[in-house]
Amino acid sequence: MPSQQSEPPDARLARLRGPQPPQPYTARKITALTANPACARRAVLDAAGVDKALLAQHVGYEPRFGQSPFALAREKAFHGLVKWGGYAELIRLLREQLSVPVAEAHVTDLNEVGGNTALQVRERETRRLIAHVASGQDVRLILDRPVLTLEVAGQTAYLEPDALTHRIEGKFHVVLIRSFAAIDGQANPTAVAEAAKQAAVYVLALRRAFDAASLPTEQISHRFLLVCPKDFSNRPYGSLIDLRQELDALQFQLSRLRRAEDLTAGLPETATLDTTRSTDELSSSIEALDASYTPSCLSFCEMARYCRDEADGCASPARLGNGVRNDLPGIDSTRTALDYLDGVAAPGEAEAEAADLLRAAARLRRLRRGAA
Amino acid sequence: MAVSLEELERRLSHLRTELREAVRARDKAETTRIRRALREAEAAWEHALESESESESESETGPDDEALLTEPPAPRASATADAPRRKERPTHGSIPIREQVHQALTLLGAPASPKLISSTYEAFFTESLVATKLASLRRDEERSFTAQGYARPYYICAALTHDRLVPARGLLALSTWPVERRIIGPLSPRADFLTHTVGTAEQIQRLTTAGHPAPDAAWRLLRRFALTIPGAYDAAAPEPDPARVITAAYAEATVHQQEDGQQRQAAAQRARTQLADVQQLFGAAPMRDALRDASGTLS
Repeated sequence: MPSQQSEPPDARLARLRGPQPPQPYTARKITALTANPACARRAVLDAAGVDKALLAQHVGYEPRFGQSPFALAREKAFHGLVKWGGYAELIRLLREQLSVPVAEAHVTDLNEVGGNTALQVRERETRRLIAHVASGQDVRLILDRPVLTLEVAGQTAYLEPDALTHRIEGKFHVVLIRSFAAIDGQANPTAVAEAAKQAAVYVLALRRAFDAASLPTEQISHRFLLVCPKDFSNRPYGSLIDLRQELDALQFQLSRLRRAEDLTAGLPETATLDTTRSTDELSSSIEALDASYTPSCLSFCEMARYCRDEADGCASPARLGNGVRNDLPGIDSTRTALDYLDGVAAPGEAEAEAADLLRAAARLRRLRRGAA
Repeated sequence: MAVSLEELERRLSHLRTELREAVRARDKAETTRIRRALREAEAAWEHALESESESESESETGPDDEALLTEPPAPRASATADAPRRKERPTHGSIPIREQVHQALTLLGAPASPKLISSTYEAFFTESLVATKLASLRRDEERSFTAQGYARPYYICAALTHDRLVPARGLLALSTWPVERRIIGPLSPRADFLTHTVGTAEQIQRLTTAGHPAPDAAWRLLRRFALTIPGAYDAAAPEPDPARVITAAYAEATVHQQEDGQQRQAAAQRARTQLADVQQLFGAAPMRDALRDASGTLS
């Protein structure tokens, strides 16, 4: 990625990263970033392609999460099963549940193009093939692992949806294959929401590709096909899930994201995120980037534990969750809030209302305790 | 195996000397450590010996193929003469791996992935065929073909993509098949899948007529095929009916036949005129960027 871009901002990001190869920008990272758009730390780390797990380890916070090897193996096995025998199960699914005619069985494997697996090459081939299919020159039922691009925070992300299908109601549908079970047609809602967010990223990337090729974007469905194991068996089951809400949210968040280069411009010249450097250097550079910690970070960010300790240190209200943060508008520390309650400090004009509410809450609490 | 046999043998004798000294010195911790290292080195030595003997026997199959095909186990036993190892893995080594792949592919009748080849072979021949061992097979075969050319009655070769005529990802085929059969167009994965189904069902039928009921694994394989073909499977019946599966597979195959056939013909024609013999079997060289913009290739 960096070889083709030689403008100063990218060079700055590359310099921050140091000699390590950059980590690719994935759909997972984009959804994490849009889940917490105020986090400059994550934006810069991802844009620079820093290995966050390694970085967290270097500054003394071994990330305790990560994908379980069992889950990964299961996911891989299920993928293999769905695509087994020339996508037989996927074709059956499309035929039985989405009434695709039998004559439609054209597939193209975009995992490699003529023996070449480079993302750029696959992306060009994907674009060419989509243009052919969209303009009706060619027919494809399934495109296996196409490559799409999306501009995120001034960086180009290469995205690989599990598959694309063109033959449901004559529209392009993104296909996601996930290994959590759908029991009686009901799957774990958190997992589905996660998948939907990722699918929204792919749909958006697909729209950009259509725009770039000046093709009509009406051909892209606002639903995606989620394929997961049916009940307690291993047979794939599929359902179309509406994405309009996720798409709107994602578009809004992406438009709000500040460009990573602007964020790095505020860093001191000596800043580095090179994981071979000393812990002190790294810590001071990380501190220079504003984080916006919320407890939900723990479930998707490798740096979360570092940020949590930092939030603990400055008694940030967000450390206790979004509810507490929203109850304390304008008050940036729980210590200040306590001072207001104890009458040690007087709240300013902007904080008066919040302080009044807090006092009322404290009084109620005392009353209740007295009654009990 | 990166380390050579000689090197390992040197290491073994060195470790034995060390062990003798440690035992004399009554250094218990050291003894345990050396013993462990010794065991590891011995295992590595066994492994290296095994892979060497394998590659030897594979290259042996070259010149005197006819003799080998009639009695394959003989030269292998004399070449290795390693009784304990043979006892450990009784099934392995009786039939060369390329022979196993040949049998499975002949049965399936169309280019197939290593995974399918291994599950088919294991289903019908009740012998194991490790799919990961097939990874290097195509390359070995290509090397042997380049060196001697048509010295063997058949080669395990590649399926070719219809547009660029490069080897299709993860598919093995037989050199005795015409090029058309080895072309992979947009419809070919499905068409080949139907061919595999018919091949499996017919083999089960043959076995049944011959009075040898097909193994359970073969029925399971057929069931898996049948489940994804419209009209091939009766949910009420415990086992799929091979005749019905064949009819259903043919019915779907006729739908795709014309378009797929045309694409295969056109690509095969191009392959015959543009490619050398070795490339017709093992595919054109992987794509370079200069070739990319010739966009007329996709029909």
